Amino acid sequence: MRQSSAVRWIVFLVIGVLLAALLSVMLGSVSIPFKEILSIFKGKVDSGSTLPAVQGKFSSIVFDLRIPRTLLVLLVGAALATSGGAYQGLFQNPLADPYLIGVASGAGLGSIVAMTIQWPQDLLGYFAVPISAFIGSILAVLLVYSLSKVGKTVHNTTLILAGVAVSSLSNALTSFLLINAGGELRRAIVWMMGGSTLVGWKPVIASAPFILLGIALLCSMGYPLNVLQFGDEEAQQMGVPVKKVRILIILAASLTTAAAVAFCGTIAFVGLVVPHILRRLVGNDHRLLLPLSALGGAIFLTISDILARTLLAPQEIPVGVITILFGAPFFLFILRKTKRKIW
Amino acid sequence: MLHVETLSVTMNQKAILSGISFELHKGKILGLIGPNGAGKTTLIRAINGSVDIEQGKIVFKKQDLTALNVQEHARFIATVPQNRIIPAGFTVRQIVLMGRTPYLNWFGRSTKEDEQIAEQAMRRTDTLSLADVTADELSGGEQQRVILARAFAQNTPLLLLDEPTTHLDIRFQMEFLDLLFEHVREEKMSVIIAMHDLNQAMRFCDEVLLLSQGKIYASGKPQDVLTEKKLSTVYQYPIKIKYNHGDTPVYIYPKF
Repeated sequence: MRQSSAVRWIVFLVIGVLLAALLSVMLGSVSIPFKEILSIFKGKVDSGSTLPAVQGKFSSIVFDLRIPRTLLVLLVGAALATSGGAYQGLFQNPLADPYLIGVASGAGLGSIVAMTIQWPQDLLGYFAVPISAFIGSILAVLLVYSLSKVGKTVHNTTLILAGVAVSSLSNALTSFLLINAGGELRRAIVWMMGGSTLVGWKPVIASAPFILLGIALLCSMGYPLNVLQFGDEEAQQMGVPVKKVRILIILAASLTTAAAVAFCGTIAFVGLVVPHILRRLVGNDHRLLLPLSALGGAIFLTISDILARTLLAPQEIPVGVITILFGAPFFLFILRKTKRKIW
Repeated sequence: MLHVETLSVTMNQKAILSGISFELHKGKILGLIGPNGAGKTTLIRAINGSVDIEQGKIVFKKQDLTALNVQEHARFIATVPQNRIIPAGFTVRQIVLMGRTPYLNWFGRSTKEDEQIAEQAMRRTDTLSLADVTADELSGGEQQRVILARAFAQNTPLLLLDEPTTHLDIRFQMEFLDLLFEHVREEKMSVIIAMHDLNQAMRFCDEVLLLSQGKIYASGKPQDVLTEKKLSTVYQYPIKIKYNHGDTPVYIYPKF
């Protein structure tokens, strides 16, 4: 991949992100035309002017609902796709996405634990959820990793099997906690299906630092991840401190996943589908692949979220359902194709 | 300049190597021979730090190699391993450039000089014309030359190879060995190469170590070590040698 075409890909996807974000602010149970949005922004800038009543209503929809939601969805999509790409590279396994290897379910269990102790109300409560999710995800990934490690090598099949087992276990524990959750049950179930019932700016503020930090860390590890594709022993011979790199990637990817899961629940397949499509388009250089995955994941989830809000409006479909509707057929397609080419 | 002293390796309470001592001088090629399970691969992995040594010293130019960190270590030793791994989705150029890893920063930013060294390594291994091809699409012989180019790009004084020609056909074997030895002779690299083919060992190596059950059975010049008696004992199979003009061995073969 040459430098110039790498830049072209990034520019292309950044434009995609901006367009998706704009659509996401415009569309929903109430559509707001582009002109209105422009004038709302203008009105916000020169705050001296008095706005007509209807614009005031749109203004609150845009600033208190649409924009924070769009930002959250962009962040979560980027988080899931980047960590998915990193996990696939780390385990050299095309099926390793945060859900299949149990990280996301561990994070889900962690967040539910935090939510059942106290449903978040203030900002501090909101921060407790991603932190608890992070602990859950780290425990899950360590468990899966140690289960699938035989001697010095990690067996790919065992990795997926262990991931499925740990996932099921955490999901069962999550359900158990939900049954005891009482009044918050409905909110928690919607959360589990991948719909954010938490509106407003607080979830954005609580998850953004973790997600941005995690993505930045992961993107900085593209090169060691490339060398790691030769296996641990050879990578070490080429001068890569393998253990350190592995731990850093696991920590960063789990942090990113956990912060995403904490507020958006179970959104499967983003971490699988997006890096896969990009691998086919740009190759396996993780220095380019991971940033592109972040952008591509943001686009994919934002579009899914727009569909989730508009398909059955005013009824809202959990976005996790939409991503599975897209993702599952693609997943099957990959399973059939995986014997050839990129892996 | 490489000193290995009383090296021992134990795995699962079983002694794999015991009391291995030898010296390798600059620009010399040392062949490791011996039957399966004699410890050739383990010796290579012990010298390059992939397995922990229980006892002994590995000193290179007065530098204790076991005391180096991973990056420093990779500037001394490059390895061409037994099982070739070619990850998908990388071009030959990208893979050969990864040989420069011990000289690059965390982000793998390569300089013009690194790119020139990689290019030179590709020229040396006859892979330059394949530079922009995806390496996993190449034939086994070409891939093995790409791995050799990567090791050359690492620019180390010591090169280890573990049966590098095992899965190649006879033409690729000879091409590989010719390219390898032309380069290392020119650059005065020291080489340790594990080999199964006794004739190749006799032809290419300055010295050989004949390993048997984790110990050195014999060492020295090929014609002194590769004798009918020693080989037949170690391989536990009658082995014959055809001589030219009385004393130069030309062909080693199992008795039919």
